[in-house]
Amino acid sequence: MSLRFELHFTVLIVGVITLAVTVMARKGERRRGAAFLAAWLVPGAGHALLGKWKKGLFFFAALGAAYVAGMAIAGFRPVSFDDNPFYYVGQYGSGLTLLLAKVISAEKAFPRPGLHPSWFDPGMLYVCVAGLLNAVVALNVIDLRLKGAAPAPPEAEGPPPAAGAGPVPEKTA
Amino acid sequence: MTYLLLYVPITLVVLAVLEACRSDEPAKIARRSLSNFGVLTLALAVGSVVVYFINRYL
Repeated sequence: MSLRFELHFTVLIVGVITLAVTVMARKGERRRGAAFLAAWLVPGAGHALLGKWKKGLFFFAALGAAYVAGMAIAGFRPVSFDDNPFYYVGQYGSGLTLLLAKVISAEKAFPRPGLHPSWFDPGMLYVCVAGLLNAVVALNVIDLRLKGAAPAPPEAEGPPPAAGAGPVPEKTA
Repeated sequence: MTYLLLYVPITLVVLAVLEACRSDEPAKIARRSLSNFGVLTLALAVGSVVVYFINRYL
């Protein structure tokens, strides 16, 4: 894969995240913006930052287990673009997986010795799913209801008209 | 063929994480995840059987 494409894609992802954090900061929700950034960087960190420790730990354990299992199957080599472009892009869902992919980058992943080659594709799928699910978890931080926060506003429906209120249309003969 | 077993843990993880995004109750998350897993597996199994018979006899 060309370095230019990879650079453009990385800039795009970082730009989208920066834009989301900036929008939230302007709305006066700096803590939530920081939590969104933390959630993208490390699975579950956003929920932990907002006080939902148990959920954060659960997300970290579940996504971490999926990632480690996938990496173990794929011989602890990250998914390269040449292996599968879709699985490769899935790693961008989490900053941690992206960082690991860059640190231990390889030309081509291969299944761990002793495993049947048919396990290789599911292994890469595990890595990809861990990244994509983290994107969902990070987006969940934006919608998270916090303890002590104001309740959600009611739906935009006008109050019911009072009986006898307003002008009564006149009947025309 | 054994690699098909890898479907079970990753599907359970996906369903549990998605349910955890919706709910705060662990019991409810576990119950709904398992329920969804059963329905999904059943749908896949029925679909596989249908495709098998179509390829075999049609």
